[in-house]
Amino acid sequence: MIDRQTEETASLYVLDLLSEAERRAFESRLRKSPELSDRVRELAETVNHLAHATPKRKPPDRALDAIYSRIERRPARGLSAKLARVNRIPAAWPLAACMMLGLAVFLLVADRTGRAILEQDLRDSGAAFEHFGEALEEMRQIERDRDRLGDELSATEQELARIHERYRELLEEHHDTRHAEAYLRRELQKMRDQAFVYHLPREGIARLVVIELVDSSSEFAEFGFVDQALQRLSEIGHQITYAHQLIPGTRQDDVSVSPSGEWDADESRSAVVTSGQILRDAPGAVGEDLVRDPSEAQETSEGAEEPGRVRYQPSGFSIWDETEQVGTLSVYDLPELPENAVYQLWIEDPAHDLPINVGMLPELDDGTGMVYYQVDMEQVTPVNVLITQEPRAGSPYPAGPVILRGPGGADPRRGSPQP
Amino acid sequence: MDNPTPMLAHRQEHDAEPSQLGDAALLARIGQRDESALGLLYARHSAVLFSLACRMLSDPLEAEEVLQDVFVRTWKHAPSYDPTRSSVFTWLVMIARRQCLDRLRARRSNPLRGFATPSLDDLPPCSDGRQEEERSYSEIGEMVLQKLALLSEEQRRCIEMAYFEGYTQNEIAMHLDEPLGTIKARIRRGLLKLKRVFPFPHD
Repeated sequence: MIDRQTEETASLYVLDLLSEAERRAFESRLRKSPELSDRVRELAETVNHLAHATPKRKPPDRALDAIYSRIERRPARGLSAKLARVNRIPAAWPLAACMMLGLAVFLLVADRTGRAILEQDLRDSGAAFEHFGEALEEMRQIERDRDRLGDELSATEQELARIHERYRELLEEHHDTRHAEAYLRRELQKMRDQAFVYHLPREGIARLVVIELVDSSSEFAEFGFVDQALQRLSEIGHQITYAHQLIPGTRQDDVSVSPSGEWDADESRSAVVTSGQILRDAPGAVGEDLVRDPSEAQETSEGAEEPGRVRYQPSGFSIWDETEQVGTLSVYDLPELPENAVYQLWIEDPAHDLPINVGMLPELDDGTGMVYYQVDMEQVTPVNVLITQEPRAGSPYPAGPVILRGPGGADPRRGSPQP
Repeated sequence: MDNPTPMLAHRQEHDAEPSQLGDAALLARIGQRDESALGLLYARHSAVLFSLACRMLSDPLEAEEVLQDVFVRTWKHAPSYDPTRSSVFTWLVMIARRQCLDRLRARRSNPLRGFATPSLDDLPPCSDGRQEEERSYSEIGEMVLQKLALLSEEQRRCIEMAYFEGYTQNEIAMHLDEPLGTIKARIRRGLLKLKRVFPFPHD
């Protein structure tokens, strides 16, 4: 059985993405496991189909001739073989030609009288000696220049290596900074969203019902909107009052915040405690993880976590405008879906026994985004919002795992929400 | 019809015209220093390999050098080819890609090295004298592109950056501004999806 980590390494191997040490270690495993070897072959055959996905180009006609001229031809036997061996010595024929020429010159010179040769050679040798001295000096100068240029080249190469190293450091710093910036932008956007929810009621739009969604697997799942609001808002000394039945037909507890009892119940403002505040205390959601060393890997219940991967917990909230019968849903960091699965949105209304199917969520970048939704019914009052994972075709009733729910009603598959 | 016995198949292959031989049989003949077999293998696969090298290197002269290197290596190393590890086509493509990757990574490790190269547009399209569109693909190429379109944009981008552009995992992560783990997961999922839609070997 090939586990996910090994399969991932095999994928990187066939794309030549492993480091030299990783590649050697993986090839050692390959030799020991026929199953892994088969899998690598399948992946290699698959990925190299991509070679066809390139615009067709015809190689130049000269290429094949060049290949034939480069390949080592098979040596023939006997004399041909000896000639072939001589052929492989690059300077053999020129050397032989020089020797023959030298022999011919020697025979020619030997035929002249020795004296004439001597006088002429003495004159020529004097002049040649002068030229030799000049050439020698020139050669030494060239050697000095060569040494100097060699030193300069070496210094330039060292400087270049230092610049290159600095360039890589800056690139990494740039990368870290961009991650940190992305994290801060994300947090800022969440805060803006929360501020939107918080401030709109202050402008007099009091008919908004704010529903908080929490991760159903979180230990904080049982803490609903009201509990969190009470806890958080009490801390800053605000007076909290309940405004039951503020919106007719809802069982949703709206929380009004009245500093010093200044506002009465009719002017109650909705407040929101987003799951972002909850999750900040939860493991795996700290900002420092963004710059975690990629070589570190955390063990999770699902096995080894991918190195350098930052895990956010899913969160979100929904706002429902009763007058317009339209809602917005903001979600953050929904987990990546398996193939052939979708996220489906449901609302629960006390007037209906079963959750109402709102529809499938569109594909969101990184599981984060905001969508508007309407329900094809009249006068709906959502008191719970559910996001479940369902098969791609969708489900008439929530059947898959609950990814987010809020504000804390009972699991619809276990019965109706609590009144 | 029954398959011929191994002995008969071997004799048939041995007696067959070279042009009718499969890639593996051609490679076996190349191992016996049959130059005509090398020419036939070249005729079958040189266009794909050259096109791949052109796309990876964006330099037709370097691509031609790679093409020559691939077939010179094929000539030298044909006896070491192991048919249980890959098809001949995959073997050739792996040699060509490795050559291209070495050149690409050498270029990137030396950022000051830059020089003008001839345009790919100067090259003739791969045809037998017929007029083709500027970016034409083979029949199998069209099919591969259709299968590639089944991947998500993110998966396709990661695989193409690794396969054609020779980026390392870290470079892809930096370029796309994504965590390294995300890049690895996208590559794994993308390849698994491709494996399901390419169930056949090349030979």
